Amino acid sequence: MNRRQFLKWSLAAVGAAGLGALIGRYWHRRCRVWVLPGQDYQRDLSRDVAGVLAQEELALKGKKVLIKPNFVECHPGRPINTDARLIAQVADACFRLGALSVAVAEGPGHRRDPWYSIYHSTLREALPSQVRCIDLNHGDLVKVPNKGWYTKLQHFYITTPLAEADLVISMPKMKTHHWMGVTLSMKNLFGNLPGIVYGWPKNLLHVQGVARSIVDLTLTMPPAFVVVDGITGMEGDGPIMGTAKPMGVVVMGRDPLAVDATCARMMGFEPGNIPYMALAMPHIPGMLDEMNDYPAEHPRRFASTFACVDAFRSWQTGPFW
Amino acid sequence: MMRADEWIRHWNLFAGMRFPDGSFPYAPGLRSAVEPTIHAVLAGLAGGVDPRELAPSIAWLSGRRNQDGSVPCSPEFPDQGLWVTAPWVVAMAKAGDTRSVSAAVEFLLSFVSITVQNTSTNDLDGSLTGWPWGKGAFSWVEPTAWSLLALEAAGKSDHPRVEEGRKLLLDRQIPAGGWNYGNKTVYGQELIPFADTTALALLALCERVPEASIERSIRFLETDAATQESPYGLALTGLALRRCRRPNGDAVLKRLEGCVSMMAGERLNTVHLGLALQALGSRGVLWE
Repeated sequence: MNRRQFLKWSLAAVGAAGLGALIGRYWHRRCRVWVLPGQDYQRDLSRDVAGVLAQEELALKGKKVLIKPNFVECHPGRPINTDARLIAQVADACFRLGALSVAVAEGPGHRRDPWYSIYHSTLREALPSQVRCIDLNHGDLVKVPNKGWYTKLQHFYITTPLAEADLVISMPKMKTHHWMGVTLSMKNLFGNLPGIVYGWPKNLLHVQGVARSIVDLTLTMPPAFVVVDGITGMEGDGPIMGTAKPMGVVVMGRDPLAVDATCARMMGFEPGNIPYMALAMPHIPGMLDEMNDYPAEHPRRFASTFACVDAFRSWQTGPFW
Repeated sequence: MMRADEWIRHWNLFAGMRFPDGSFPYAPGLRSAVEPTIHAVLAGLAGGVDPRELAPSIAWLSGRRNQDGSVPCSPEFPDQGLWVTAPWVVAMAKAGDTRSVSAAVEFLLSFVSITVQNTSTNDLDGSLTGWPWGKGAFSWVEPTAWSLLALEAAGKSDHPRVEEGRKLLLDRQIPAGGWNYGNKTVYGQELIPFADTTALALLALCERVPEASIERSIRFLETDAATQESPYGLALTGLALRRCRRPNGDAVLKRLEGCVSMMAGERLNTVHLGLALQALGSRGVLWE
């Protein structure tokens, strides 16, 4: 072995050890995933959500909270969006814990017209007047460095309401997705980015790779907390053209991958088959079921395989519990 | 058409958001942005506002052009949101600033979308070149429609790229009528048409392609207008139906008049207001 080879192997060994330690550290950090029954949207969960946020010691007092739902397009009879009543209950929970302000903000990826998303009357009417609704697709831009490395993007551009929020609560809908298998809290990050830069759909991310973009976004702007609307999910040809899947559940936690992987299992998908989850695993904790704690209900109680497009049926290797 | 004094009242409220340098923000409290200023100029031209009043906005827009002719969405980030070049060309050409326009037209002609192999998931002709939202991306309905309007405004309506752009829009038309953002089907399922993208595509295609090829989309827009809840959608619908010389365009404009006041507070986007004033103005500035 010459000097150059020795140096190369040494660096590789140090790199592997470092990566192993990093993965080990994360794999050994336990994550809590809160699974709460929610039979329908009539039941007020704000007290329960506030209880979980308090137990998770999410410091909300005096903070500017931004709730990022998945509220992308309104079609009667299609459960596309995070339900406005659940969003209102989470907003209420934030105020109960002393939040200075709460805004609901969204930048839909394929529909430019905010009157069918963040300006829609069903959302506005469900929310108390002190909660602002903000369109993240249009506005003043802020440039933030990309903390991931899977895409070639050096920076992400976001609008000021997101940049100025003290913490973000991601509220996705539990849905199948015709490109990614599922769409949950990490995919929901696409809606953080303004269409005036990334387009409708956010094709400048698609060309970088959807899974790679999701992981870079998660590493750059992780939500402080996730609340998944699984009261009524969407199965089949999601995220828009699918059909209702009543699940009667709300899934919450601080760790987006833990919440997403748990939801994927509940939907019948092996998380390791979901490209963005597999890619995220070395970087953030929560992928392994045995390393997750379920302090409320166990997810097995609500697990039910979602119908999906043929392309992803082989990814569904559940049930997992 | 809106009564002139009513139009002027709305224009004055809009103009109240103008910065001293002539630029407009997306909403009160925000910084100058290119797209709102473009639509302010177009609205002013549609309503016959005194050119001296529009001059600072036109001068501000003129200064936003990059060396290569492109125009960004934000003055702070000159390499971002270059799709704005197309509506910028429309506004500057309509304002008569032909000197500013030529470099931007050259940029638009060189601004190409990537092409893809046809896939079974999408059922579209991926070999056609249109216009993307940003460099290195695929073509979509809105930037392609604006680019066609821009090149037409610049006197390039017979350019081969324009021909191909029209072909692309027709290829992306949903079989039942209308346009989504750019795909028409995914996994064999037809997507839902949107009023805004359909109206933009029709603005770019009306009187440029055989009417039979877009008739279903016009009909979709006419039907959709009756239940359309969005002032932005109604504004574009009104413009497109006027452009396509449909008699029910007036009814749409009447509905739009009734909801101009909805565009206030947190639901105020100056681009929407600018488009509404264009639709309600006396002159069809986008195509005349």
